[in-house]
Amino acid sequence: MSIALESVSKTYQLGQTTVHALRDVSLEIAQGEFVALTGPSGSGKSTLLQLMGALDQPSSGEVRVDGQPVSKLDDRELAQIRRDRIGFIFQSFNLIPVLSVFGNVELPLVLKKLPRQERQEMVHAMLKRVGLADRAHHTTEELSGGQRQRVAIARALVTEPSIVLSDEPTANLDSKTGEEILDLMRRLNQEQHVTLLFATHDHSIVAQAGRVVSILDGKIQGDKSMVNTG
Amino acid sequence: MLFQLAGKNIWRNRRRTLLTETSIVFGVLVIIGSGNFINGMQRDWAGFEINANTGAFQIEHHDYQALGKSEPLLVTLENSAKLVESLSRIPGIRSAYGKLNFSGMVSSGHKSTFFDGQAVDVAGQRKTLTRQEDLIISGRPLADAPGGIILGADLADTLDIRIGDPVTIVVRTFYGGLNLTYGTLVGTKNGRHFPSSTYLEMPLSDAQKLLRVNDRVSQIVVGADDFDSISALMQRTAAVLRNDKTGYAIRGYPELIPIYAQAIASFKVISVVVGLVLLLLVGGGIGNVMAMAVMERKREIGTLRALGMEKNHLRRLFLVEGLMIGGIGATVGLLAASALTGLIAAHGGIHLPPAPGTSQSLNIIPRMDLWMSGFGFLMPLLVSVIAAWWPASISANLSPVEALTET
Repeated sequence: MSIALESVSKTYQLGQTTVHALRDVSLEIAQGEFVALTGPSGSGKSTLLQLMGALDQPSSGEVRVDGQPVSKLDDRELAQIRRDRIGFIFQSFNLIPVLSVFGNVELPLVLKKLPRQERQEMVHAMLKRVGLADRAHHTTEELSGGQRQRVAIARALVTEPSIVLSDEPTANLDSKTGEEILDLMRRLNQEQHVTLLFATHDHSIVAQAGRVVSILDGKIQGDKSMVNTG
Repeated sequence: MLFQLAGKNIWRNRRRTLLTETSIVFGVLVIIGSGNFINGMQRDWAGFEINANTGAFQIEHHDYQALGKSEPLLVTLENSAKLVESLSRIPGIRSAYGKLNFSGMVSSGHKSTFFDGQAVDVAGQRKTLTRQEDLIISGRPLADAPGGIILGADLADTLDIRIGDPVTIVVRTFYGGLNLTYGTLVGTKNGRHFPSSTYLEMPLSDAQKLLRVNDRVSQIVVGADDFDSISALMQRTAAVLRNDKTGYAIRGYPELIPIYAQAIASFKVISVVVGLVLLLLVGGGIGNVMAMAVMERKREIGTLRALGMEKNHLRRLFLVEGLMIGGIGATVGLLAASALTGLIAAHGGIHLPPAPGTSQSLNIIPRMDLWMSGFGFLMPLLVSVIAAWWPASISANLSPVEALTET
């Protein structure tokens, strides 16, 4: 799956002030890439991720998912794209506290209306991959930060999305846990060719990414392919 | 999953849920409990009136309602003894007796006044109106022996006579002449459905002789074996009477107790209005709880949207939560009302003492009222869905980005 931004601008109105979050941004992410999106706070990274994740619409320009313009899609079609093709990993994990580890990972599959048996098999397989098979029936409050982020990763990947978008995935983790999570993500990228697009300040992520896009004041300042030995 | 998630969300804020559920249970308990009380009161009141005053139903001449007040003797039923006998053979009829309505003057010797009289077949009345003694204020009911007179308590006071005093009765006969008889006051009576200040009761045979109306009665009062089958029994009786050429009218007990239907309807209206007010408050509570849930769970809503939940699905989630809150409260309320009703009934009901000046007490045994139970159970469900609709719509229409960035 490819996602492309074509001359995308996004403005917000904060009282009397117009905030230009993105200005005439064009960017294309191809299947299987590992892209780090860098830039200072307020540079527009999160807005760019939201537009690429079909969570929001641009003020001008077009977002295309596999060539299909997102602005032409209704709520149901947008939800379907998010459900079937995109995985989200949030900085604060955003797990549903009333659901168990298993329930959180199962949730996207429920939304996809998969049969129970199939769901259970997929969830167990995914929890095994992220090393949480023995924690399936724990509540999320019983887990450490790193374990919670693993649950979030499992939830994002269980539907086998084409692209995973993440806003600061390691920001709330200690460095060792962050490394583990990153290692896990990189393996998934290499083994399953899952496209990864991470908005991050984390140098270790940047170091392992295959492409680094830097953004400043809503504009793309640089777009470099990296030679990665890792 | 939708129900599981909704259920867990309700459980999440237990104290708030418990408060809301308590208010719903209280509302449902009041609605269904009052409905059961009114149902019991209706049944016990009707049972009392049927056994003390009216019988299950009465049969009369089809013109009686039009002419009975002015010319009661012209709209009587002939061959009444035979008719009573044939009616008594209908399965479900326990007993029947004739009564004759007439008017005239009654005198104690030094005071005289007009009366509205009822002459009754004493033996038949005894079998049919098993609680007529409850209306007796002093003395006793009529005996089989002739010459006994019962007066309304106020009429006895007007005439200033006591039990055992003689009275003189003067009437205009069926043929237009005047006739007179003597009797002895054996009892005084009071009741809601006859005027105590003009009521006079005497044996049917004495009155038929006095009025020159051999074997005629104004009404035949029918007692039924079973309260619940009175309507069916009336229909069977009407079918039997249709073969007779005399035009008969049949009037059931609700029609014979003038304020009965009106009072019961009023009680039910009051109960429904109180119920609706309670449900309005309950609805406000549920709406508030759901609105708070939406505000508190904005990030979760954003997450669910990011995971691909559609607006309608999200709206359904909050509606199901509201419905579950209403459903739990309604179910517990229904069970509590049923248990309370059963408990009061098992302990003999609620005893209401006689009103001042009467001897009629009521023992109300609350009974499940299906209509009010249905209303009390279903209305909270409807109210909860309506109350949850607005918060649910807010949740569905939240922008995913706005919801996700909520701190």
